[in-house]
Amino acid sequence: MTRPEASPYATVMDDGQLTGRPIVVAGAGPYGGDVEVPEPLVTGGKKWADVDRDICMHAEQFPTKRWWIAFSVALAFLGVLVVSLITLFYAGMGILGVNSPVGWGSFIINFVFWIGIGHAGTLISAVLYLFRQQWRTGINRAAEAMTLFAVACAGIFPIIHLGRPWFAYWLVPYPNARGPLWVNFNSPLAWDIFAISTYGLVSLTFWYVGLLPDLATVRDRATHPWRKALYNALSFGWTGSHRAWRHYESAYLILAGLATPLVFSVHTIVSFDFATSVIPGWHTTIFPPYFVIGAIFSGFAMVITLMTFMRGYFGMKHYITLNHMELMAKILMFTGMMVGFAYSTEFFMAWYSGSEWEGFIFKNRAFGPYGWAYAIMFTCNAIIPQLFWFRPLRRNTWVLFAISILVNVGMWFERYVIVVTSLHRDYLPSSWGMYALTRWDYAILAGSFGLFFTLFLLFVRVLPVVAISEVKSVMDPTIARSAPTRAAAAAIQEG
Amino acid sequence: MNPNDTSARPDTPGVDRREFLRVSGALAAGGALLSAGCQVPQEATVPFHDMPENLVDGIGPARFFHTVIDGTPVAVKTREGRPVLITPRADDASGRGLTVRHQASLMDLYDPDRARGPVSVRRGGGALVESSWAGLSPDVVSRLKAAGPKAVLLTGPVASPAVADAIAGITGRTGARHVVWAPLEADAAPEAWKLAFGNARVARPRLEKADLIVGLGAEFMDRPGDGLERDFALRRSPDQADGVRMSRFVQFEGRLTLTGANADRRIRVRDSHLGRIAAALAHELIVVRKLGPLASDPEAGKALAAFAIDAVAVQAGLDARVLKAVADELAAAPGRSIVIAGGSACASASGPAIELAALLLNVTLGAIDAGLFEPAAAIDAVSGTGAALAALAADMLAGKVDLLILAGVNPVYDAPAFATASAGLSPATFTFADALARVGYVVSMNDRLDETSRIADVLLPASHPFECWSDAALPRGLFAIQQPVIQPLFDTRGLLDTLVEWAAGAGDPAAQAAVAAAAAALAKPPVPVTAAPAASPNPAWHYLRAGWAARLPAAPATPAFEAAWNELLRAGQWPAPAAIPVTADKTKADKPAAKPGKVPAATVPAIAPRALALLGAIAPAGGTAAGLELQLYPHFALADGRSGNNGWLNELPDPITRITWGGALSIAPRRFDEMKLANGDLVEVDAGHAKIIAPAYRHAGMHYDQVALPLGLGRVACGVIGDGIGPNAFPLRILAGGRLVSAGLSVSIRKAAGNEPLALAQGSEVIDRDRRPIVPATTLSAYEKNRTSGTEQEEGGRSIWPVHEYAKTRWAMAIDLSKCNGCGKCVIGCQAENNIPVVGRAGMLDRRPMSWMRIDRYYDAPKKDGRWDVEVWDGPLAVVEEPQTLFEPMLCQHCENAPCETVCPFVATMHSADGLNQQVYNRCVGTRYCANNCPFKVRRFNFWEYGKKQESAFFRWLVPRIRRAADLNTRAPMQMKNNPEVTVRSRGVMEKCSFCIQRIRAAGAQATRDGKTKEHFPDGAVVPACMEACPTGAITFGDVNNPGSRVASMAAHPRAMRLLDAVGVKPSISYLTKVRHDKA
Repeated sequence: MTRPEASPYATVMDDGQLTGRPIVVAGAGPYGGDVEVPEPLVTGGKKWADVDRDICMHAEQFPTKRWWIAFSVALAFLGVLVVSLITLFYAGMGILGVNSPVGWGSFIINFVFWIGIGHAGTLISAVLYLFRQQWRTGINRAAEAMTLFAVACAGIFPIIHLGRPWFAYWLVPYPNARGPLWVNFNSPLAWDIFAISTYGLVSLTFWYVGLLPDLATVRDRATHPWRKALYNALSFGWTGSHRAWRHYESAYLILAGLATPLVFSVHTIVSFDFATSVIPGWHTTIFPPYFVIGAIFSGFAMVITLMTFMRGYFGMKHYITLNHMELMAKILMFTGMMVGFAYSTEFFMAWYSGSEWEGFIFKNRAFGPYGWAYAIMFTCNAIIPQLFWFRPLRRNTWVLFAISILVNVGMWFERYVIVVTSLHRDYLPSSWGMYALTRWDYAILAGSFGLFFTLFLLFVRVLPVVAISEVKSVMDPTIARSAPTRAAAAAIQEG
Repeated sequence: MNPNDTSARPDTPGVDRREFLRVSGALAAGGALLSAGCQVPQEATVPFHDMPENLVDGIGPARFFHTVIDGTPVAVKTREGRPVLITPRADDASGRGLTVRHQASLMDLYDPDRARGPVSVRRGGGALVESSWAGLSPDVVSRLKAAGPKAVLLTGPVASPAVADAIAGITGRTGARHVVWAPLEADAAPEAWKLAFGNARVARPRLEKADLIVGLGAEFMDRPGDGLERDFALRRSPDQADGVRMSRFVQFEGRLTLTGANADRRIRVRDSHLGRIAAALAHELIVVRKLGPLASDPEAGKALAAFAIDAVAVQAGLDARVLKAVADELAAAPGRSIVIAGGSACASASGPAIELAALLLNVTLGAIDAGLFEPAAAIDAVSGTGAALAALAADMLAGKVDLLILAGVNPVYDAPAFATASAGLSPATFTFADALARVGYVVSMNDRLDETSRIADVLLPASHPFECWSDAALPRGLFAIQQPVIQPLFDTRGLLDTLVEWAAGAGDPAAQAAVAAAAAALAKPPVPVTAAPAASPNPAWHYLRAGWAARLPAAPATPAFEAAWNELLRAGQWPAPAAIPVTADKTKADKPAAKPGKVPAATVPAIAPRALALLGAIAPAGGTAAGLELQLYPHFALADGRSGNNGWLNELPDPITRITWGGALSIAPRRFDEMKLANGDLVEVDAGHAKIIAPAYRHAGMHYDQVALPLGLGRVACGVIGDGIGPNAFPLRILAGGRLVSAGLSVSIRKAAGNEPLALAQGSEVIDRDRRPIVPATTLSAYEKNRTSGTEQEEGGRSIWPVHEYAKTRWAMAIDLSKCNGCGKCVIGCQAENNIPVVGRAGMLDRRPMSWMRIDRYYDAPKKDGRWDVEVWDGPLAVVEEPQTLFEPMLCQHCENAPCETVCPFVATMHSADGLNQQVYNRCVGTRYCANNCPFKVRRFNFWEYGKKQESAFFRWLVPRIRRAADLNTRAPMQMKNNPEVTVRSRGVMEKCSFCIQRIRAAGAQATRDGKTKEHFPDGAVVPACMEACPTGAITFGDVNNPGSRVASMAAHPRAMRLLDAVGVKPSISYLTKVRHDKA
């Protein structure tokens, strides 16, 4: 750790040196007391020029072998999705596991799962922005991209789960010649259309507005005229003038304000798909907050998973530091406890309501034939994140990675438990039944991950994966202003 | 010049616009004609030469015909010349009842696996060769003449006088023998009655007149062809008019049957003990209590001496007080109580003794004197066919049969193994197939290449009863005409046609006359349709009319005769009530329904003492008989398996076991658990002479020492749909003492390797009605104290939805659970009316049934100390030894606040102005949200395309289930069964009960035509298919807003309960409490 003379508070640290605790500068206070200085958000003594190079590098180089391997795996899974969907459309819903009591199966589970994942990005970029959490700058770009891709994955499922998906457009209320056929505004499925499309559009706009200055940076660094032209067009001819920056900042703030309520509304409305029904286990008022917090929980887990890759494979350790990871682990633990609280509340209410149907369904949920799924859900979501009470575990990327995966497994099973156990035994025991995924269900679930990772890998190849301009704003000028490192200088000269 | 003015353009060369249109129109029409001629295969249809005005396919009135299937009168509904629905005759006077097999015989008619024409089978190698009637039929005649007495005609029981005459014509001229084989005919009752009274005219009990019914293995609901279940239901409502009490039914049985499940009290006795139990009751009443005419009969006293109630009870493992209580009940109701035996349990070695004991009890209780049996001369019950078949098989094996003609029988599949006549031969038994191999020439007249036909020489396929003329003798002295309702679909002939032709060939004058008349009719030029009906070119028609000339009042060939004949065809029955003037000399058969009251005591003959000897065979041997015994019972839907290729029947759940597409070995729960079995685990059943492997089923209410297997499964040559379903249990039957024994067989069972999942139609079956009050049920004593007893449930809160306003009509249904016996005829009726596909075994295992209507069967959990014995929530109970069975028909409840309606984003399901919950298939995109949100789970989703074949061979290969779904539903000519009034649904849409909206709308259209749109629909204006099929009148449908309607009064009845009030859905269907008569 070195401390340049210019400022007593500016500290150059390496990723491994971070402790997660503030640096105590003895006697630096105005009256001679100690001052606690937060550890830097960017490590490795990076200069501003380093940032440009480190981040734009991935979009400028020929892809590495590692990327190609990852991309071909993702593409293979995407191929599985395409083949499965063609079979599904030709053969019919029969190839899936859905049946008479359990009319919704893996597709709705996957839909809610992916929508949930799509929550963290906008939360990080909008809510944390409004709360002036500066550490968000390292991760917000990738997290927002993740949101968009997750929403794209989620958006497939409500369409393909239809018996006649070719008529899905009937859900869009526009004056038409089919009667006119109008949608039923009583139906939560109609609300979903509005909630999800609004969320997707606002998230896309927000993400893209944030990208503008960085796209300009890529343009400025570009050498090939076509590349320059392309990125120039993408950046809407960003000039970097003060006016542009002023407008940009205002727009960003407004969009953050718009996006924040959406974070809460989308999953609230998705939860209405269940909460407005008459089925015990679905018909509960706790669902909106329960779903929102679960979504943030799973979204953060997915962000941790992706950031671990970004740190390891794309050399982003200096921008996405261990401190970032620890902060996310803390959020994961907190939301995990809220999720656990929601689970417990459901049980309490089932007992307290005195409803026989409600009481049965929760007993059946935990101890019936799908008790194993409930156990996976409860362990992964409510118990395992409790490990983050221990600092060494919070700061161990392997543990973080493993837990983030487990949390997403748990969150998938949460939706499995809600969808399947509520439906499989409802009012009349004569229609009770069981549900199991078929090979096509599994293929389409795996294929959705293929779509997600294909999009994500393309994203890291063509766009700045960290918000360059925002990261620069949280760097200590006393360090970042000085001349670029030798390697960077050489690169600039060669360019 | 105006450029648009085309009229004045002299310079334009060639054609003008009109000319162009004319030419191109002609070209298009010609092209269409040519291409149609080139591409469309020629069909043998007769188009309307002059299309009647306003005739559109599927629109317009249906036609109804009266005819007979297997001796049971039915009404057939046809559309565009196709039969589309079979319903019971509302005015049938014969007392016969339809079975589900009769209803589903529509599918047999359109069975794609029927033989399409005569086939030369070339047994013993060589391929099948299609042949013709002209090529094969005359050959049979010459063979008949040549074989003389060495020819045998083997048929099922002949219910038709005309067929019997034709057979007599053949046998009388050629000396051929006629042998009858009825694989399921009950022998015990005819044997006992013959011994007791000298004739086998087993009288039909009149259950509607009895206050107390005691069943000894009775199965009148499981085998409902005689209509007893309808009579029984007449007395099962607790609100009887005129102070008549609800009847009470006590049943002794070993296997929980549908009949036993409807009993007020059920006492488990293994089949082999039933005779002793019955004799013990007789002993108690006759010897101990000195009741009835037999009390003074020393012979009876001597024969019954061995059956003291205490000793018998110990042997049967019963408490003697239980038997004494039943005896008390019987003794307290002389002249008002009836004892009935019969059923599978009486097919045991002691069957005749059971029947005799029942007879003794009925005589003692004065049931016969009091008119509790029909005095009318019944038809002689068929019996002894097992012995006849054994004798025939022995003759065949010995080479004494040169020509065997089979018609409507399949003994290779359903005959037992026969013992060789002389001892010392090896092997000691032989099968019917072995014997068949020794017959010179075998002619089969079955409808397909079944197990027997495929080892015959020729198959001359018989027509379906709907395709040919015949007649039938019915109970109560009635006769009926079997009239064709459609031209034969294939190159088949009616049995009577063939027999008449052969009889003519053999030299029978009546048959020769008929054949000559038919030939003459054929030679005549066709007559214009408008003229009087021409003589038929069909010999059977002439033969039949000639035979009926003796019965009809007018001489043949007179206009009066034609009128009477036409009236006969219209009425379908003779004597038809008030339709045909009945002359006194022709009908001696009195009409029992019209003559209630006492029959003079003198009509009851004394029981012959030699009959009492039957009891000697079942005298207690001391000690408890140990070991496991097997009962073979006819499959509820398939019976003897002749309709094995019928998808509707295979998919109809057994009313008790709820198994579809197959059957299983029923084992008592305790034994099942002791053997550590799971449902579907394979078990080997060893009866000594034969072994069979069958899946096991945990059958609540089975006697611990008894297991049971259904007969009629395991067909191997019935067709693509039904081959290889379940085990064939027929080889387990034995012939003993000239009778077929299929109950009380001593067997051992052991677990075999493997599991064959049972395609159960129901998820769980045990309910705790305190927690889940979903079936209203109570006891008579509770009901008499509180008329709403049994309908208690949590009340719903207020609704935030606006209430629906009904301008006039609101359709509703009421189902009286006290009358519903769970037989499932409504399910088949609904399936036929509404074009509901079958999903096959795989579909049932996937739990994707399509049936709009189902009968839920629940076991009411037993109570102990006011608490439930065990946790009810996790599937079947640990032990359900003696369940209380509840049946509940479940269909769309057409909720006032339908949860499906609010959640559909496409508005594909909506509330109609007359209270229906409508499903609009065109709008449905298939989110399945409505099905999830339906608390009754009555919505059905088309997971596959059932209505048409998947075109792509690749996807058929990739997903074999597509091929199977097509096999089950779309092979020609199966589509012909479809009711044109109902849409055939496509893949991906939801469907459900519509309250038969097509009938509602037709009634509405009729009301409009009649100018009665302002008035309420009267009762009976709309009868949905389920109500129409229900034999017991448990279902009532109508306009609940019409204050005078039956459904309105039932919906307002204290017994009425609308399910799941707490959910707030407000169903339109009211269930009336199931009341059990608990008062001894």
